[in-house]
Parts: sequence; structure tokens; C-alpha cells
Amino acid sequence: MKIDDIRVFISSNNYEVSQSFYQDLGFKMDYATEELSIFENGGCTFFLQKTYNQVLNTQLMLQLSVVDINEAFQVISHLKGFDIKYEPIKVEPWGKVIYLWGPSGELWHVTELNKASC
Amino acid sequence: MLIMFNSSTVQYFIVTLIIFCSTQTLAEEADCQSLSEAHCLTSSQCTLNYISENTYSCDMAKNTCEQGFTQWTLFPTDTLIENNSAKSHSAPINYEQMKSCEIKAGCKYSNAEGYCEPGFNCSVTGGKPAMCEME
Repeated sequence: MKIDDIRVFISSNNYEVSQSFYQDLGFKMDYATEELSIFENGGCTFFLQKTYNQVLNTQLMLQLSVVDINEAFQVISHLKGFDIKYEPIKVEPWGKVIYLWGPSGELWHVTELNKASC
Repeated sequence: MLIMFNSSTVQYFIVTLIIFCSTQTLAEEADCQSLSEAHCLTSSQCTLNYISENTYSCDMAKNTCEQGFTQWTLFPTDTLIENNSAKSHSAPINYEQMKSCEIKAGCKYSNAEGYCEPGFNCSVTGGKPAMCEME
């Protein structure tokens, strides 16, 4: 079996707020159904669901690999009007990371990997 | 421009500053307490403290050793983690994590004891996670 893509389904406690959040973060939104949206950036996609599962979201972690973490931090730090949390850029042996909690509690590891790690 | 403050104005500023600071601290503490175990381990501003077997408390990092220390993080390469065969119930020592702690003066890394980090398949769990503590 050869896999060409994996897409995650993220639940949201306020669907419209999460839709706005991910668009402001730089994703392009498309409607899939009334209760499901698809977000795309750089050929990478994920689903956002209107349903909410608190237990799932507060355990959920996703890695968002970016080309330029400083640019990502600029975008994140300028997000306004969302109940989100983020930490400063942290340097790790394998690269750099920003921890970003989305509006429904999902935790994104926004990472820029060292060139040697790829 | 000369600005003059009388003593009551200064007192007002000090009280306001204290209220602002303590409110911010309470908010940050509440942020940590709202995190799940996995998310708490990841945060460099919160620390997952061991209370008793399988019972933990996620608290705001309380000193320079805990601040900036992540008890769990992504490791795309397997070269960073080495086995410590001397202690049967200890997790493998993560030397990069240890270095990130002990590079700070007065900080001592303590390896996880009987704790299973996310992404690992362990035979023992419920113990103390890795900590970066003041010596």
C-alpha cells in the first residue's frame, strides 16, 4: 500500500470561530458539508468538524511544519479576537518550535526543522 | 515637561501594578490547570508535577529551571535518546533534554521514574515525569 496523504479531523466547540481562526492563520477554506470544512495551505489539508469532543481536543496534538518559523510567529502573534494561547519560539536540537493552542484546545507544534533533520 | 506625583498617586500606581501582576499570575496558573497531561508536558511555561501514582497537577513553572523546560517534545531522530540499562524502571535518558536543563546554572535534571511519555510503549507507568529542578 502506498499512501499519498493523511488528513486529520479536528472538532470545534465554536465552529465559526475556528473557521475564522484557521483562515486568519493562513489556510484557505472550502465547504465540504454543512458541518465540515476543508482547510488548505501549501498543498496540506485538514478537516474541521462542527461537532465537539472536549476529551479528544484537549489531548490532540498536531505538527505544522513551516518553512520560516519567524514568519509563522509574526502571523500567530498578530491574531486577534481568539481565545488562543501560544508560547515564544523555542530552540530544540532538531529545529525550532512554537506551541500554539487553537480555539478548541487542540495543540499545534508549529515547527521549522533543521535542514540536516530532513 | 515636568510631571509631579503626590504620594497618593504613586500608591495608586503601585496598587494597580500589584493587582495587574497578581491577576496575570492567576490567569497563567489557571491556563496551566486547564491543560491535559500531554499538553502540560509540552508547555514550557507549565510543569506537570507528580502528586501520587497516576495523579498529577499541572502548575505554572515556578522558577528559572522549570521555565522554558519541556518535559516532552517532538524528536524526529532516534539518536537523541539513549538507553540507561542500569535502572530497570527508568525511562531512557534523553541527553538533549538533560542538557537543555543543566545548561542553566543551579538546575538539575531528574529523569522520569516509572512515567510513560506520549508516543512510547512502556511496561510501567504512573510515576514521576522528567523534571528540571533547582539544586
